[in-house]
Amino acid sequence: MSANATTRAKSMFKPSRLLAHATLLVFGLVLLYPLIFMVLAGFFTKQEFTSTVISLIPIPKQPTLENFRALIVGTTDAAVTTYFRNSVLRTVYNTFWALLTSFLGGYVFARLRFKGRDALFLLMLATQMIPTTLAIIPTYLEFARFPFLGGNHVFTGGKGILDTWWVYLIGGPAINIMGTFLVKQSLEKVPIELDEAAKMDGAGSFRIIFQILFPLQLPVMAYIAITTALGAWNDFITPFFYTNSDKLQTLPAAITRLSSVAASPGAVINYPLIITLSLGITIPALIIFFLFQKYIVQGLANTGIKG
Amino acid sequence: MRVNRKTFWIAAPLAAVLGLAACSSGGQSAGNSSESPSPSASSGGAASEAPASSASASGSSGPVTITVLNEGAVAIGVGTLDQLLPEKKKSLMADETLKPRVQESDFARTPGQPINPNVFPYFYQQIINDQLKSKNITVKTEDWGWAEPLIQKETAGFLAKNIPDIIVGETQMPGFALQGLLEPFPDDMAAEIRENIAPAAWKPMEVDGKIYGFAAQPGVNSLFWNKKLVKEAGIDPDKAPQSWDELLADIQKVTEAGKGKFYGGGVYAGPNAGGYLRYGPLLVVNHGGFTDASGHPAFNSDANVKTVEFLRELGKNHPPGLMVNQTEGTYFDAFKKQQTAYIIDGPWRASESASLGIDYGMSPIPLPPGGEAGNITIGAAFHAVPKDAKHKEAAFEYIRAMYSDEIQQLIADTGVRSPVKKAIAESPDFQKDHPDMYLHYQAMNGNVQGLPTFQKEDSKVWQTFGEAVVKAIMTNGDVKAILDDAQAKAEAILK
Repeated sequence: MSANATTRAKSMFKPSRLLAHATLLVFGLVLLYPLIFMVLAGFFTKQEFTSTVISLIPIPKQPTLENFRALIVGTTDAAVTTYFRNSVLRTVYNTFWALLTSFLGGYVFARLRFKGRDALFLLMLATQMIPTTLAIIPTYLEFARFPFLGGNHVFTGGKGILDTWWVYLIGGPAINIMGTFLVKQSLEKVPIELDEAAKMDGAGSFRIIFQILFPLQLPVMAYIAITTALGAWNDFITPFFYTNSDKLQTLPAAITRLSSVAASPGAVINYPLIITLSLGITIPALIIFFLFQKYIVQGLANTGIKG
Repeated sequence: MRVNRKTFWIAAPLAAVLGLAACSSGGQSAGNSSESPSPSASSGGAASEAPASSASASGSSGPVTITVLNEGAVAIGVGTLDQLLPEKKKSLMADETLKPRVQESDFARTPGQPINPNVFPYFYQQIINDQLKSKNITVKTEDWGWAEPLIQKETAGFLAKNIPDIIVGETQMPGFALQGLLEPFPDDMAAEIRENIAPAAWKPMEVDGKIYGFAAQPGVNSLFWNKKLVKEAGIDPDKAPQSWDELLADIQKVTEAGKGKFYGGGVYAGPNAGGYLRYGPLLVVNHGGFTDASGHPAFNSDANVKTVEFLRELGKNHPPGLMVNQTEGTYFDAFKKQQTAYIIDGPWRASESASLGIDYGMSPIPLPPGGEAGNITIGAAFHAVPKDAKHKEAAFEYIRAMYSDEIQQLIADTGVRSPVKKAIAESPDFQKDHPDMYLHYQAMNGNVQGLPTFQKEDSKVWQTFGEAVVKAIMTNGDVKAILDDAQAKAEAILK
């Protein structure tokens, strides 16, 4: 027993192992550095942050807790509560639709045979190549013209769905292409005989899809849910470009406006406050990530995607 | 005859679509205006609208609400001014980070007396609100961001014909005017502006003799320097350089004294609007510029070659690459962190330096031998009325309020920028109380230009020039050859 313990201890301190751990530690610190910087920057006043050369580890000469106080006090501010509520609602809504469309879309492409299936799938994948910024103006026009009936007054009085909740409801739940791809990959590993056996036992399509196949895809669905939730939480382009009213803003869009309007000539931008607020909105995302990180790895492993 | 189910389900939605389309307003934005119906936005004329006067802009009855885009220097939030003003007052008094702190007494203002600069946006909006309320106009502000996000959103808004009554912007605004997207100011309003307002506030927005935009407090470039760094180099910190040679000599002395800790600096020359706006005046004062009299690119004039050679010399007095950095913020950060001594920038550099504790000097841009005073407007937030605005008359009332005596006096009293109204800026009191800003005002009356907009592929043409200047500064290549190449490329683009 003691010989085993000695062997284990020796192997722990092998140079190659130590080197590997040291490299991982350094790499981890590099990845963590932005977070460390954000926390430390929050202790600066805006004057000191703007007027002094910030070192690698920023230590303020005149530290202040004002920015963190604003972050905490801000959580009780009526406007911030609205932004938070909008962010949560949007995230939950988008995640639900992403899960539904990814799973059903993945099922269609994995299980069904129809003419043009592969070409359609390639076309969907190709749309991933379009940068988001290129789509901003066409999407704006699309929202302004909705419901494409000549600007009638049926729904929203001729300005389409701009600056309304419909931007999030209709504009939000697009087909999740990457999720569809992952579910397709994962379902292709499930033998078709399982479906056939269930059919022979009298199960209809609905039962096969949701009671047999869906539980087998939970790790992939968890991955899709997490990545969609994080993406929806951090998205500022949709609220920033397609809405104007304060009551429709989400947390990231509100902070973007804070820094955007403050960027007019002559303004001493309160970077420490903006950084601290940005740190605040990443906290829910960090919590989600740390709680569900094992599903991310599991989900990717299940799809068979290597490297 | 039995109705075929398939036929029914095809015909019914089609009928619904046709019926709804027949009720349409023809793709125009909602016609909820209380003004008399105006012709379609493409007509370009204001003939059928109520004549511009101080009468209520709502015509015979009913209040009008206009939507105005926020501009950072005067913004107090998003919503109607009536609701925003009390909230802004509360938040100003509660904000402990402001220097100086805002107190209740700061809200009792006497025109002609200095005010706490932090209360400026509040007073600005209060004056505008009071003036427009008397004309039954309510102002609702929206925030469309600034710079690139603002340009994207405004472009989308024009295409979708869903645009506020007043839009705001800087370098993109002359382009919008050239494209015919903006409503020209009524003739009487334009005449009043030409007679009473410094050219920097409207000249860049003049197209074919008509004015399309106005800036209440534009800027032109001045030379600023950090007195502490300049003193360390053995130069008199209170003496402004009088010529390019003197400026370069002083900058070189500072770089020598800095020994790598700080540099002489000079001017930002990045390949973007921020750069063109700042080194553009150097081209102008040296009888060069971006275009010839007919608006064609004139990058490779002999005067421009000499100016770019001067820029190359200035480039040696910066940390490597700083002068032509892609992002202008990095360049200004160096001045704010007292790593560079000299900078050419807009008037806000004065107040920003003061708030950061930098002891600064300020003077007009020195001239080269045989040079003539001139400048380019910078930081000019032009307000304009789009052709598709729902309430044009009310929008023009808003712009009238911007050059009213009350607003211009407020700008004068704040001391951050100079007013543009001659009656205020040329008063003996203003000259005595704000000598720096009076110098700035005088610069706004001279040969002041805006950045030109090229007939097509505007951003490509600018990129050609910007990259050529960067190449000239960063390499030892022949400046004339580099600019000739840029000129040829620009001409090819515009063919």
